[in-house]
Amino acid sequence: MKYAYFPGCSLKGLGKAYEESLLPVMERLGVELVELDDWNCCGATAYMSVDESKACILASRNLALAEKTGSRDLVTPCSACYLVLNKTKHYLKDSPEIRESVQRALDTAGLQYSGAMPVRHPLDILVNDVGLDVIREKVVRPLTGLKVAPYYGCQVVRPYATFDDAWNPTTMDRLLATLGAEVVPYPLKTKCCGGSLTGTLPDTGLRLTYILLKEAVRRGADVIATICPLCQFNLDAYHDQIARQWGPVPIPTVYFTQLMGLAFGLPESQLGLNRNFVRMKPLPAIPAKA
Amino acid sequence: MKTNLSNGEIRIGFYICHCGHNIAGVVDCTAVAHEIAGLPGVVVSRDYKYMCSDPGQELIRNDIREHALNRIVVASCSPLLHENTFRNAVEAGGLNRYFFQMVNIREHDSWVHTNRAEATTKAVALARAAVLRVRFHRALETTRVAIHPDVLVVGGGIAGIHAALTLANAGKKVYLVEREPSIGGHMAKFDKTFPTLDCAACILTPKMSAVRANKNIKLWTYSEVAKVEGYVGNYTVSVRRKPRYVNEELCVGCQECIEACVFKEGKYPDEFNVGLSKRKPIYIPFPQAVPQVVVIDRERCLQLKSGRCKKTCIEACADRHAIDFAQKEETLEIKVGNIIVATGFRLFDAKRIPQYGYGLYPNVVTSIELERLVTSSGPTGGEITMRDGRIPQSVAFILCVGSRDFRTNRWCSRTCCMHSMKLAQLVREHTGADVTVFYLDIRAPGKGCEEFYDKSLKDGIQFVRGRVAEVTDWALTPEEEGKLVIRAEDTLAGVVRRIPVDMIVLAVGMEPQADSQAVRRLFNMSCGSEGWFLEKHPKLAPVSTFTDGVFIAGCCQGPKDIPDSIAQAGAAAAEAMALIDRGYIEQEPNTAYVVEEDCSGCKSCLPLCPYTAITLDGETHKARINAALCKGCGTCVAACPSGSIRQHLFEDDEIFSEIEGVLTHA
Amino acid sequence: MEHSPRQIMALVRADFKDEVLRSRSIWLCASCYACTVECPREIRITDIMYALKQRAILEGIYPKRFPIPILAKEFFKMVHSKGRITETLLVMRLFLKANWRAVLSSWRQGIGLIRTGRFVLRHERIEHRAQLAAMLDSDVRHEPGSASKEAA
Repeated sequence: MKYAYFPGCSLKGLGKAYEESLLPVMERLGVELVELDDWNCCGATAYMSVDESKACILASRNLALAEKTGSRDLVTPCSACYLVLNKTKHYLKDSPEIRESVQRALDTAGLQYSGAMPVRHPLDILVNDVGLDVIREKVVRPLTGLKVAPYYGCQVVRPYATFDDAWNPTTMDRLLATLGAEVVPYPLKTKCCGGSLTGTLPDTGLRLTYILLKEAVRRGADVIATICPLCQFNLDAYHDQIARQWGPVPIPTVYFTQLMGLAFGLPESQLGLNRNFVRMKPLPAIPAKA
Repeated sequence: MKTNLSNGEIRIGFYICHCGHNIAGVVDCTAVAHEIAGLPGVVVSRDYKYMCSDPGQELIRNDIREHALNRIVVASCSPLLHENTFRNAVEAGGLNRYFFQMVNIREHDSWVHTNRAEATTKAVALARAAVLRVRFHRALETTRVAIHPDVLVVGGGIAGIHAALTLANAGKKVYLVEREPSIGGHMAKFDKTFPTLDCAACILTPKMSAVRANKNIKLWTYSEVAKVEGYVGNYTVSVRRKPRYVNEELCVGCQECIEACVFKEGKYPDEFNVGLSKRKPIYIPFPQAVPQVVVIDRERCLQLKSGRCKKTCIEACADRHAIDFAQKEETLEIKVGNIIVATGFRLFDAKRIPQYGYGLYPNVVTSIELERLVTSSGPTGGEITMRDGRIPQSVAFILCVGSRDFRTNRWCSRTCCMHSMKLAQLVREHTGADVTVFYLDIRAPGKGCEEFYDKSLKDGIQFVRGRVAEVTDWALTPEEEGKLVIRAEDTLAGVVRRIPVDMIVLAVGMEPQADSQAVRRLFNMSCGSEGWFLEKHPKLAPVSTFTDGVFIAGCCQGPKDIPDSIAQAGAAAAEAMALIDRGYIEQEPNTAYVVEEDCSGCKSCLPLCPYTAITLDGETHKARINAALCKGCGTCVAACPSGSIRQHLFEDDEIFSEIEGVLTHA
Repeated sequence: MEHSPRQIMALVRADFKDEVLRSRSIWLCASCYACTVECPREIRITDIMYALKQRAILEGIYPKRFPIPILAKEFFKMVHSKGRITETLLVMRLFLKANWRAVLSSWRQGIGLIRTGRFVLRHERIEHRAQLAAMLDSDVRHEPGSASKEAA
């Protein structure tokens, strides 16, 4: 299986570990992700705050490049990219004005975009295209005894809940269970981590992060599994500030792909686990069979 | 029937009305009258200020006599307004009332145009069309259809009960068919009713007993309507009576069989207590059930499912032998003249809004569940307890669950504000708990209802205006541990709040019944886009439907409280009674008819009729149209490949001459 | 949050333009879309917040030295010139322009990023920067929020 792949700026920067763990896991499953040539920033949430039609032009360049590859789907792991690319598709469909601006812009670059190519998330690909059965076969070191709080965040389920329920998504829960982990019921699984507010307005933003960490600890989780690079950064890199302001909440946050990698027996160094601020404890020993 | 034909010569009287300034302000009426006077067959052509007035009608009557007129055309307002008036005048003048044609030059001309010359030309064209048409009008008679005096009432809730009693007390014979084993509907489940806090059972059970006692009411519970055929005044209805495995005539409701059942305890969810308690396979729905007859659930009874049971129930009923495992379903056919549908509503399934935690958190309940907890004859004897048996110290009500929401149901369910405040007062009275009501608006329009809201406030119930975002068990502070936290914006105070409570009650909205589509097709009714049965006119005919002889009453027509349901039930009974007491209805003769020689029996017309008025005669193999059912829509007339279906008042020669009249220039 | 989304709506309807655009509340929106998904009247609240942000930037009405609009503008500039965002460099520019004291308080985090190899000092760039700039510059429309209005 081959898909066009849009990493997004964060996966080359703060979110390196996501890409580092995603690619080998996909390879192990026989899925090839071909990075889009010369992709540009999708715009995330900040760009749309400045200019709407330019934001759509920005995103459309990537969609046009993706369509040029002839691939059936475009896969993007970052939640913000996922949201922006899908939102742009909707705007192109619904607004003649946006269509016009984007068409004019694409024309200057000799590009075109039909609006048809689906933009999908790796979770969707893994559970729906590859299938949990295939994944289960590849598990060599089940994550038995590891209590995981599945955290989806906002933008992968809202407002376009294409492959899962917006209020109570379960794709990652099922995936983690397939890896042998114990999935902890986590009612805050789709609550906002604070997004970029943790950097600009820490009092507001970090409080949201703190609430997530606190509840995961309260529920007895060993680790939080996340699917978004900004969520991972927020949950991972501010423990000092949070402890100072509200109290310590010592729980590590990893990418779900890193957990998959561990379950597949891939070496830790390959999975970017050393990039976490808060290190994950060693996996619990598998109880000997009775 | 006088036709005044005078040797077959057509003699037309044409009248154009000024309608004060309404028509004359735009159309030059005198000019029109002058133009029309020149048409062949027109003997009299006048313009007059108000044709619908007494002198105006007098003009028509006199002219018919004086000038031996045999066709009349009036150009004035909409036929919806005055066609009947002029037809009456024509008839009073001695002609068949259908030798008349009306032209609308008000709504169709003077009210929609401003250019006088063009409007006048248009009026001439329209009038000319009518004058040419009316030459071909034939003499027609209205038909009378006799009305069978019996009535079927479907649904034994408060509306059905009231309609049945009203009719029965007027001496009519009523069949009351109810799906559940007992009548009483939703009201039987209530404790007290707003705003008076009357005990629901105390006001309902006398009516239920009256139904039982009334000789004019045939009460068929545990029964459903299977088929309806016929037309107003002449319905043939098949009623399917489900077997209770207990002989209704013999059972006295002593309930010893229930006591004796091999199931020592209840095992299955009790429907009357909305699943809050369990019942045995043999049961009586509730203590005041009417009829007071035991039911055996054929899906759960050991004997009926496996054939292997000690049948201790039969032993217990040794002297009366009321239990009969051999009882079969039976279908009975009845003939009635009118049907009143009062099938009620169902409640919104709160699981559809996962944010409120129903089904996830045990202490989130619906309003009807709380209703059963509050009732002294309910599963907890009137003690309001949570699932673990504790008495709540704080209770929250969330309003508009499944109402006023584009994502579930758009309408307002009308009763929940009052219902919730009633329950809130009762909770406060029973437990002394802190009660908070989360609302968007408080709708209390009925008599005494706003005062009820005042009393709620005086009782110390807190009202927070703000739509609840979610019910959650994640605790931020120690006080929130072990409680359910409600997150809502208190819009009046202007702050977002987290309010921990013990128990939450969801005010679920009303919805049409699950099988409302199947039911409405059974009775040939329409429904609105939301699914409620459609009344003929939202203001002027709220209990009639588009099918003559079928009426609706109560919540099946839309959400409403008990007083309004009873009012509608009385109204529906009155409408039915009007038909019955008159004894007949008059049908407009603009019906379709089959010219048998031309009919080839191709059956194209049969499925097209929206009123199922066409059948194929078994012997002649020709189409036959029931004039009593036909509404003159014209669909079959247009569709018939051989042109053998014609329509009175819309014959080909009539229509083509109208077209010719409009298109030819003078 | 000074004004809840509901208050913003009411203020917009009442034409309190200045109060709305000067409010910090519109900038607090993190685009989590929870409001849009929950709204019983299916109002696209998040998109309205975006439109208000666009209007505020267009008219230059926002609190001075308020980090969020500054971040948005810096983001815009970096995309225009490089085609991609290098997060660590972006944040440094933000601190410089809005709140240089924050540099001092986040130095420990900075060390952590360097230690874990997540601190990137070289700008990420695309090859066809001119192409992208031409595409963006071809856009002439400036009416904030009309797409989301149509799409609603």
